[in-house]
Amino acid sequence: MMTTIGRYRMARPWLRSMLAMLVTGWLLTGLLPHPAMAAMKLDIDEELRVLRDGHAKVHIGEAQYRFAVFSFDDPDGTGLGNAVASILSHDLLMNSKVSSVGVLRYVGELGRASGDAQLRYFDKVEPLIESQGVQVALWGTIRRTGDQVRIDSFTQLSPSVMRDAFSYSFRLPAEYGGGGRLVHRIGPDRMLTQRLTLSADSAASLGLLAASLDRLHATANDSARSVGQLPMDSVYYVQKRKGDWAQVGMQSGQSGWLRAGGFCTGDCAPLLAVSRFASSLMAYDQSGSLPDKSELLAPDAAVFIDQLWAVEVLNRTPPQSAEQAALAQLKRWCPGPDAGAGNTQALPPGGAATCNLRALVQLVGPTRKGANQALTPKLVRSVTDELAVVSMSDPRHVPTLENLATLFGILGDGERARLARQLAVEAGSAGEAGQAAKPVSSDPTTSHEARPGARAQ
Amino acid sequence: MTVLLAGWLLGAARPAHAAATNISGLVTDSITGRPVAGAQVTVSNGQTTLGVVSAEADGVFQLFVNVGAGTAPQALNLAVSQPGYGTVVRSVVVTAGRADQMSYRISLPRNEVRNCNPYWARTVVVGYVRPPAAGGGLDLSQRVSEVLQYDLLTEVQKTHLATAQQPIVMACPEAQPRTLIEQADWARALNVDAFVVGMAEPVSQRYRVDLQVSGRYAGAVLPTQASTPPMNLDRPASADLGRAALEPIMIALLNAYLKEGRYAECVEFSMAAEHALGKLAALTELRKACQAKLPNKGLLGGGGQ
Repeated sequence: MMTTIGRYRMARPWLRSMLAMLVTGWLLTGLLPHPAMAAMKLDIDEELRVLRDGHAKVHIGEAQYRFAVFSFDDPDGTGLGNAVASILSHDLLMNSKVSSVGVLRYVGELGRASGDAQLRYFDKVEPLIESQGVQVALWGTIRRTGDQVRIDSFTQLSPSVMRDAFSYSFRLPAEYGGGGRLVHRIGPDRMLTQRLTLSADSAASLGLLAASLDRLHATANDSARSVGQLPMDSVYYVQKRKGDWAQVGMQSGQSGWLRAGGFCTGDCAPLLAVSRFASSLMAYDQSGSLPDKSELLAPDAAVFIDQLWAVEVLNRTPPQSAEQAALAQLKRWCPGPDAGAGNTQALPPGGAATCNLRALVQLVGPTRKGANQALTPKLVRSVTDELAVVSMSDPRHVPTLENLATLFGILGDGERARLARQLAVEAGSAGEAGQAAKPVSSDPTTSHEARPGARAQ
Repeated sequence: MTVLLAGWLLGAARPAHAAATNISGLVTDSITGRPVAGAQVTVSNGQTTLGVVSAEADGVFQLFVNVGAGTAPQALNLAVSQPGYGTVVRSVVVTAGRADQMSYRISLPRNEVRNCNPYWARTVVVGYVRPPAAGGGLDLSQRVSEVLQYDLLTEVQKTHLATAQQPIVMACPEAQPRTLIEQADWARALNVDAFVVGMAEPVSQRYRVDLQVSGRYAGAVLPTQASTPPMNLDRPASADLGRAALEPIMIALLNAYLKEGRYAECVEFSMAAEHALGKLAALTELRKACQAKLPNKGLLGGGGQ
């Protein structure tokens, strides 16, 4: 199943199976038209062991959008590792911008090596979320720094969702080397999303706050009597909303009111930028709505958002100004050769991704319907030179190498085209982006501009 | 070696030892490679001691043992011990009166590294970090290694560097060089990319930890120094090492990638280091050296043709 985005196309091979899960989930929840939610608690090392033994099974497969939230590593003993994870999980479940949400809550340590492969941190998260069909994982570390507490939050996108939802393909008009294909993948897929420093007192209050998150109330009021705890390992759904409160119903027939908003205010509030960012990435996938830019997010997340905005600008803005507007989104990360950085320039977070998109924008712009400039050989040469310089600083970035192969082909430089192709293959995942983001079948010069994420289902 | 060879030939020729086997060798320190004088060398056959001798001032030992007149191979044990070192036992096979080696080189491991066994291709070892006088119970080595591990890996893994090429950080709090000069040998001796030691110094009621880093490929260059910001070591779990402490370690690791021909990893790692530490001249220089070896260089300049 493919989604057309202007001359880009997103591929979602997993969508069909997820739709099946969604249907199952709704059946489980009594075919209610309200967002279905589910949460389950899992042990990291046990899940890895099961995965190694080949006995992994998909948990809460009913959920269409699947998040994993890991207990934050707490090497300095603040006691807040589970509390921070609970706050983020709760926000994902209660305030998600997508329907049918599942949250897998992993407990354990990511900083401790696991197995012979010595997996830690991102490398430990990846096999777990990929095997569970999780699109976005949140994890982090809490450290004491002097009299303060620092909370580092990381966001990690699974290889599948990167391939399916954040990869793009653009076919050049046939007159350019027979219609070569240019590819892009938004990056980085592993991000430090936020580094939040709190006073020890403010940090301690997070623990108190988290302890009451799952308490079900008889009415939408903090002082209303408790009618139980929100159970893990089950599917539930929002029946009604009232201000900051949501009435949640379970398969057992039990229901109660939970705080869906206003539970994390003051010094806690910035933390929610992490869960909102994760949620917005899935909302982009579902509806094409772009994540908000936020000063509360670290550069890794900001560069990701700027790339999404650049793609959006390119698709929405009239051709005459699209290129400049999209370039403006990217310029602060990848200023281009005019900045005189030379071939030893440092790359922005995500490596070559931003500069690769910058190159694509320069080439895509002139080929858009109604564009008032031409895709000249001089421009192709210039962009090719830029990309070659970029590949010196991120030598195994597959989309950049594949694009270089295409562009050298257009320039008639077979030798360099072969070298670029060979390097892409050696980088280990040659063609991966291209396989997922297949070229549009229609003539791109006649296709209509469409919003990113507009679904062709 | 000439002396050993002569002794071996002499021993084989002398009638007085016609039934004796010459077993010779050299005992050295595993860290410095220098001779260990006085090491006790014992050759035994099962429970039976066949000969004992002490290594000379130059670390050389030689003894003759009688193993009988048979021609069938016999496996003996050669044990070498010395206070301050772990005992090394190895097998010696004697066939028809001759040992299987002309000279046995025995590298004695120091007691202080007996429990430090790096097992990973890319390893940083944090040795002894001397606590302040009042903080005898502090394990600063463990603290430093934990913080380094987190700061290094979370940055490096963003580049998708293969796990086998990512550095791990080990705490070996007993690993303590005896001299500053000697410290330069430790990374090579432990077969690790970087070796770190340090000491806490008082700075206006707080403590700064001065770290010294040597690299596997540092050659004759003395260890690089880095200092943490002043910290309150009464609460070691709150100690913020600061990122400056990472710089010499990043450089030692980059140097290892470069020397081992892992140019792409070197460039990727240098980018991660730059994101963590900011632009540093030493990092840029090493990156340039690695970029010069990249096959991607063949892609440059093509667009202008």
